[in-house]
Amino acid sequence: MRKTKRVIAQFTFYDRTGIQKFLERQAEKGWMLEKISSYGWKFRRMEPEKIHYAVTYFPEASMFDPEPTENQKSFWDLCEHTGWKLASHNAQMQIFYNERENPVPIETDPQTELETIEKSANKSYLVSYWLLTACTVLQIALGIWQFATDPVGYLSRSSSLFSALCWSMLLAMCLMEIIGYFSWRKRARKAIEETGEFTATKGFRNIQLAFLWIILAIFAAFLFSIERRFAAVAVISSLVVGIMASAIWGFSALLKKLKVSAKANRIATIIIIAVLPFAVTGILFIKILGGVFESGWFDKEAAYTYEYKGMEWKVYDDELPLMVEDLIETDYKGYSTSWYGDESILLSKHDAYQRPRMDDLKEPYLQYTLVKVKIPFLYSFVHNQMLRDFPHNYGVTYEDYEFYERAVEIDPTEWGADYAYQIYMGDYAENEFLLCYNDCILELRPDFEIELTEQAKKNIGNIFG
Amino acid sequence: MPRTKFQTLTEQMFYILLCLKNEYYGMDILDRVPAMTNGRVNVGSGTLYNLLEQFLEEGFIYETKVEGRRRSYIIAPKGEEMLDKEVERLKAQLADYNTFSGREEA
Repeated sequence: MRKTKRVIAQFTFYDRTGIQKFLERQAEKGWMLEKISSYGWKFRRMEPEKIHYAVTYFPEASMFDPEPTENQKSFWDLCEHTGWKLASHNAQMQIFYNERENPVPIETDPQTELETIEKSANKSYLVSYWLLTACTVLQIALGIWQFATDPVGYLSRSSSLFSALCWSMLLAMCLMEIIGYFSWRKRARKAIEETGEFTATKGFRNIQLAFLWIILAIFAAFLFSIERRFAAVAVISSLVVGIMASAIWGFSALLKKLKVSAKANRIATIIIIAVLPFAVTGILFIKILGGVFESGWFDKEAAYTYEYKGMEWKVYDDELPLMVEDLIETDYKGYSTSWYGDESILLSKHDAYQRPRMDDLKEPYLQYTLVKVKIPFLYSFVHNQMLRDFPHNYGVTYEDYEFYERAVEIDPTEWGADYAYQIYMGDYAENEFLLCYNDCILELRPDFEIELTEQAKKNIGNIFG
Repeated sequence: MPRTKFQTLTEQMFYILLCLKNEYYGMDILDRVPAMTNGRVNVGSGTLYNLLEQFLEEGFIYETKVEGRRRSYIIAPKGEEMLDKEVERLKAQLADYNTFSGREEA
């Protein structure tokens, strides 16, 4: 049988009632709290027993204290005098247990009890939750900006969706703690005035644990959904972040062991937090990943290469849904076909290129973007966005400008499509089309030499319709 | 936290101050208060620690000896004043009770 176990704490910081109950239940099951720390709470096997636990806060204490202060120790002595032995402490939180049957509680005055919780909250817990909230809001704002610039691209990237989900869940967790605390404090203050009693706290541990598991599950699903080499990068990056966080904790713990003062430790730790991530990201991502990129690890595998004017050119052999051969008669065999893109649970967006070799540039090329909408609800949104971005005017807004591109709706029936648009520059119709089919939208930009016959249009309709 | 709540004393504050008419260690107070009140009033160790801090801040008590983590205290004139004021209030309360409950019963 296991002698020790670790539990992800994830307790709401002011939830002294919930923590006490949790620890008492653990004791009844034969688990005695040994140590609380940032890495989870450690329990030791013991005879199942009814033990009383008490969670109190000592506002003066800090997570950077090299050792408990004299005041803190004299507080512990007082508690021990009434049978309350210290089980463990971490920063302000002090956890005691008592084996007596009806012990005098540590807190017998709700007013002072509330005051100490408020002091501790203001000194550290709330500060860290506000900071975390600021970080998440910043990340979410960045996500919104990315979404606004390229909504279709954003929705088709699992990584964007995953990070949006993570940050929103983290924000929800922070807000739960902050709003929960303030509403509890309001009720507690009122209750003391009216009844003189302490208001039991209620935490969000189960919801938060569920959030953590959901994030982990989605991360796993995300890793399996992307290519293995990108998954490797994602795993390595997460490991690096984890190692970095442990290194920062370790550094602070080392300073504590060296009996460095709390103030110096706090300053040094803040500096490390500010510098280390940048240094590590800089070194790792520029040097190492840069090297990996250069080594071609991320490059698509070429079918073969050839030399042209002293340079090496790659020929790819990706399968494309639509080929030049579907549009015109050709017996040219030197095409390079490549298919790049992203896919999420909402959309997939791929760019297809079919190019002749450099020494055969007279052969026509074909390029297009294909967006597949997996959720019908998003279709009209994607349609509007792609239509908006279809003409390339690079910020030119005056419509009478002779090179001003505009999308003109054309007859979709010969394409077998629901909607069809073509780019016009003045009266000149360009060889660029936006074709909307049942669940996909095709932005087709073939070589101007490819004249799309009725048969070619029908072929396109057969492939995508 | 300097507070205005020392307008009146709670029972626990009252007995801590009363107890400190003699010099005592913090721990002694934990035993003395229940003994003085026949177990009617108990002061928890956390509450005691915080109240002693607040009393010191307000000048209600003095710290007499600090031997490492063992500290002893004694009441200060300002604390005596607080106690007296509280007793006056309680006396008035009792007098009111006698006057009014007696009349109503009659």
